[in-house]
Amino acid sequence: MNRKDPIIHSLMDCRNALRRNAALDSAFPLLVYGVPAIACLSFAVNAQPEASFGLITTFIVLISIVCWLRTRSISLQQTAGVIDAEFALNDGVSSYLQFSEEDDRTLFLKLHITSVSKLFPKGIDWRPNEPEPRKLGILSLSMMLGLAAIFMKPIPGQPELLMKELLTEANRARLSNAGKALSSDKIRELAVSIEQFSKTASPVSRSDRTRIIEQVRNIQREINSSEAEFAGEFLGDLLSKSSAQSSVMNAISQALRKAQWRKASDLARSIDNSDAGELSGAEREILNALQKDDAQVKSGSNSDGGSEPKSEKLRKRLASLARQHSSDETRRVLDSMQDVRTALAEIADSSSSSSKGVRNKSESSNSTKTPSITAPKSARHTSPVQKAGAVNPFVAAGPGQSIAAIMDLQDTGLSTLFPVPPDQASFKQSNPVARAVVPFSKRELVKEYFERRSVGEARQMGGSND
Amino acid sequence: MTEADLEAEIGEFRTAFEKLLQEIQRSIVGLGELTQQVLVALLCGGHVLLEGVPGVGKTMLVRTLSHCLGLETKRVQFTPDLMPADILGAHVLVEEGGPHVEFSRGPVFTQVLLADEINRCTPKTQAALLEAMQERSVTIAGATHGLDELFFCIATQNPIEMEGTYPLPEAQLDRFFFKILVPSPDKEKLKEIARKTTGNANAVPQTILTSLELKRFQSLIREVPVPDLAEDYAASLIIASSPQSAESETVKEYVRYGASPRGMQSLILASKAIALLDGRFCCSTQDVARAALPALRHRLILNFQAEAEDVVTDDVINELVKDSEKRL
Repeated sequence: MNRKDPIIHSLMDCRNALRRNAALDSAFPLLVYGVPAIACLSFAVNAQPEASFGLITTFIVLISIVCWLRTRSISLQQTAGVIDAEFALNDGVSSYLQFSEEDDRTLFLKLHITSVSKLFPKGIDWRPNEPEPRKLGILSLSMMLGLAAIFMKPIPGQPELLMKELLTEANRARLSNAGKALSSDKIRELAVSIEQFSKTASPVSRSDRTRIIEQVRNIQREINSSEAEFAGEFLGDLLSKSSAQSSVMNAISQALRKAQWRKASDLARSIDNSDAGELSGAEREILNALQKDDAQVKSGSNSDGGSEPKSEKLRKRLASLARQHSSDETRRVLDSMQDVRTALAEIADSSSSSSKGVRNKSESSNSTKTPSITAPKSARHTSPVQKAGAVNPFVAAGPGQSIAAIMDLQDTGLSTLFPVPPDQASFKQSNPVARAVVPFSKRELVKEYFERRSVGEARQMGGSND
Repeated sequence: MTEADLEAEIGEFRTAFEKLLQEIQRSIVGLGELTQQVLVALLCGGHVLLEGVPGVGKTMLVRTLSHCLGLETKRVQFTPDLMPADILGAHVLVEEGGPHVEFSRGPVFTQVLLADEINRCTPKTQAALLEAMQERSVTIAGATHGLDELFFCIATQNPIEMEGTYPLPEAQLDRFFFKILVPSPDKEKLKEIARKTTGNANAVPQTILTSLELKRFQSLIREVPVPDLAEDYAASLIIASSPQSAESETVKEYVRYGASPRGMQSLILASKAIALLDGRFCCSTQDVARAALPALRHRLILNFQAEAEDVVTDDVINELVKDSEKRL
């Protein structure tokens, strides 16, 4: 092909321009929609920026290759056809392209080539339209949005960020130390996980977060159980050394050592308190604690022996007693358990509440959810609730309202009060009404309020009946 | 010959054609495109089948054309009792100079033959023209007699009256270069026809071309180069017209037989003439498309379903042309 021929040369330029336009046309919709879609998808699945960037780069490269291959099909002959159509030349340039290669030209061919050359003495100056600036702008914007989405940080309040915030240095240290101190494999595992997790600069994925929360909760349960067993063993030893030796006391001691809480509680109730004169103060307190185990004991799989399920109240009372009467060393172990439990509770509770917040902010903000059994301090984190729509529990409910109370199951010292419409006065979590948090110290007052109210209502009803 | 000579010759050809067209149009009213197509067929050395209702100027056109070309013209009125010998000629006993058998030439031995109402004669007589049209020769009693090099047959047929007619067989139809439909004139043209033909002063056409010039121009047309693009386009049209190889649903549904290779020859040759008349030195796909209707409409044989649904070959060809343009 004679590239020096001005017509052929310009034809090649036209072909390149046509290829460029065709590539842009075919790539445009794919890139405009594809890149932001991939970026958003990456953001949604919380992929690493490097992975997202790699994915988008691969996508762009693939699209480029496909478009490049497509544009290869635009030949000089096709370009000549476009120019023929543009100038209404009846295949003049197309046949010129074919016959300009022939050496043995007839007179007719010579005439034809001459006539076309006369039409375009300096080559064909026609070029396809440049890509629309609007198109290029949209493409650039799309790319920028894609890149922005890759490097976008989760907005505050998202679970990933909260998870990272919760993993403070203090918490990590507490968990790590506790893990070492308690020789618990799970805590160590958690400490390692958290250590690795804290080193990563990116937010954790949703699945990682779920896994860590589950891990945290399992360890919480384990620590609770260990603390109760530890306290039971200590108190059992204490009772076995009691001056008032009796078969019942021995049985209680054994039950405590074996963490048979129900049995110990039943045995303690069988003891007449008037006969407890020989008991020391600590022993009496232990018996009182066992006798007052009025919380509902969940049915366990092995109710006759082993570490059957126990009430949280009893566990706390026993731990408290053990802390009171134990040596410094025992107290340190118990303190470290308490310490790690608090840290775990903070993580688990805040994570779960933040997760809920992401799923349904309104539900979370107005939630009447009973704090998790493994999160004794959870109610303290309901500060946003305290602000909005707080109701003074000591003021009588307004017309059409009743007062419902949520009592903390864990003696966290908190209870919540909130006004609800009469038909919704229940403990259902879905009641989206404002609530107020009342300190535990005022719990008695709340009870009193209810009692007074119920008595008042009864009087009113009785009065009307009269 | 140099490029300038060739260019001059082409110019001469175009001028002669324009003059011819103008001269014919002095006598014939409103058949400009039709006349052009007849002239293209003549310049390509092909025969023409004119189809139109009676009285639209078919015979008049042929007579005017033969006058303008200065060619010898004979007319045969085809009737059911017409025999092949009536067209071709026969051996007759001649008494003069001693009794002997002599070949008496029929009207086919001419330059322009007007076969009027060709579909009125029997197939036997129609078939008499087969050799004459294709080979430009006639074989009688074992002896072959050559026809004039410029032998040009213009046949006419009436599409309305079908009683007592014998539709031309496919082999006969295929030998016509073009089939041209003669339209009925509109109101203005009718008035003009009346003005021109009902007075005493009838226009006498002048001779524009000699037979020599006609031969030269016929040869010139055949030299026009055909680029691959136009060839591909013409070939794809021919292939697409056959229901066996067609992609078009219309062709598959309505066409019984597609165009033959003669159709391809007609397309290319006609497109060459059209290109030259247009002042170009190379034919194009557009020229092929322009030649498609007259060159193919008698070569596509439609089936019964097409007839039942009033589908005509022109519809099928127009669709084929559009489809082939898209594929380019």
